[in-house]
Amino acid sequence: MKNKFPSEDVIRQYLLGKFDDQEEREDRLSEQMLFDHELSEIVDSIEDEIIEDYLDGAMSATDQVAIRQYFLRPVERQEKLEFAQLLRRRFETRPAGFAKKKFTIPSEPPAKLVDDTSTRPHSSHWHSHSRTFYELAAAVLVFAFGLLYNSSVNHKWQSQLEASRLSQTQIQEQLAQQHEQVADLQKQLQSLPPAMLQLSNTHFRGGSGNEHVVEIKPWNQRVRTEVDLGSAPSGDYEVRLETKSGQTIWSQTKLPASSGVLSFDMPAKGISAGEYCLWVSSQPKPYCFQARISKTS
Amino acid sequence: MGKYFVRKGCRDSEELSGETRDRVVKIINAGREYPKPEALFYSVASKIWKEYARKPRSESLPSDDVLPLRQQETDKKEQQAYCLEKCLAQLTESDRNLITNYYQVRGRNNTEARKRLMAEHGGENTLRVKAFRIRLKLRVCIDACVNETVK
Repeated sequence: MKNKFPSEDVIRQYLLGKFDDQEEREDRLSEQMLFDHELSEIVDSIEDEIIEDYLDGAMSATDQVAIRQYFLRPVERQEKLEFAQLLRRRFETRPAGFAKKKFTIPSEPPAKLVDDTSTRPHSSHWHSHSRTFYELAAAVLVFAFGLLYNSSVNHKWQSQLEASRLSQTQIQEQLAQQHEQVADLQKQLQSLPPAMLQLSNTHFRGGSGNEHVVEIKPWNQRVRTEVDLGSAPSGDYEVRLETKSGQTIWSQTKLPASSGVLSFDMPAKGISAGEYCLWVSSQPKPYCFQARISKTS
Repeated sequence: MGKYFVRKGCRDSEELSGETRDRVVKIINAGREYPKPEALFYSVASKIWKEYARKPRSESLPSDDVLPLRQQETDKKEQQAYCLEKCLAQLTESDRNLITNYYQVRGRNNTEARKRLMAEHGGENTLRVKAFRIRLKLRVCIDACVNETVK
């Protein structure tokens, strides 16, 4: 990074809103980032890196809070996050990428036309005429061979192109079939019964009840959750699922509760074996449980 | 100008850039001349941001639902994945290799491989910017592809 530019650390802090209370510094950085194209591009790339680090879980707890509460507020950044997840899914499942077919095109010998008449002395008039005749004949022959050669090379190229188009179509068809199969499988997975989790105030952190365990099977995509809210009023609630270390792995807003019970589905994919706590707005303590991942049916 | 507000973590970035444009147009229509229009834009945007930051507003818990479950979302993801394949195929071979390698060497266990890739591409910053440009190309391509599929 050029010396005239702020350091990566400073840019990161800026992007996480840590200079919002330092008006002058913040202003200076904002202006510099807006008007220097090169710096602007670096800032954009660091923004992408922050998202990658966030998805890697490679950030401090404070930075994670700053990301959720500040950095990810703009829709543009939420879209960037979504895009980063898309790329990860692609490269994590199929890292090998493409094997691009290479065409070998026969190299055509360069046609070299040299007019050497000016360099050779004229020995006689007849000789001159006969040479002109031979030269003309040779030129016609070269032209004819050239045409034949070109047509043969063109034919070869056309066949190769045709073959490649055909194989591309076949690959596209296969891909489309695979997409359909994946979609079918996903539908089947959706119809399988989800893992069940029932929580009540006995599962409050430090509560006296037995430890609650949810068993997640390999095919479970969702964890159907029911929280007994006791005497809490009906209405909309916000929930947040945290790991033991306090890292939020999922949250949802505006979940309706009725008759003192809050029912919703959580994604199973982000949950690995271990202890988790579920915060529900208006409840004084989180509900905690153990997750077990069963490897077999 | 949109970037200015996005970088400030502003939820209504588009609305605020629109407001900036409107105010700048008003100022210019009033007949005053500004030798540096970009400076005028910046000062107006900065003023709007300060006004916005002062306004009280309720910030609900951000919805960072990393794995949304709705069928609509699943369909969208499938479509994006399909378009991603198409767009990856349209990249040059060197861009495709770079972005593939970039993602392969992420994570703590790949420090050496990451260093090698950085060295191959002129250092950490250059690699990062190159990867950013490729991602940008992919995003533009995927957006166009998804829109086309929707039509």
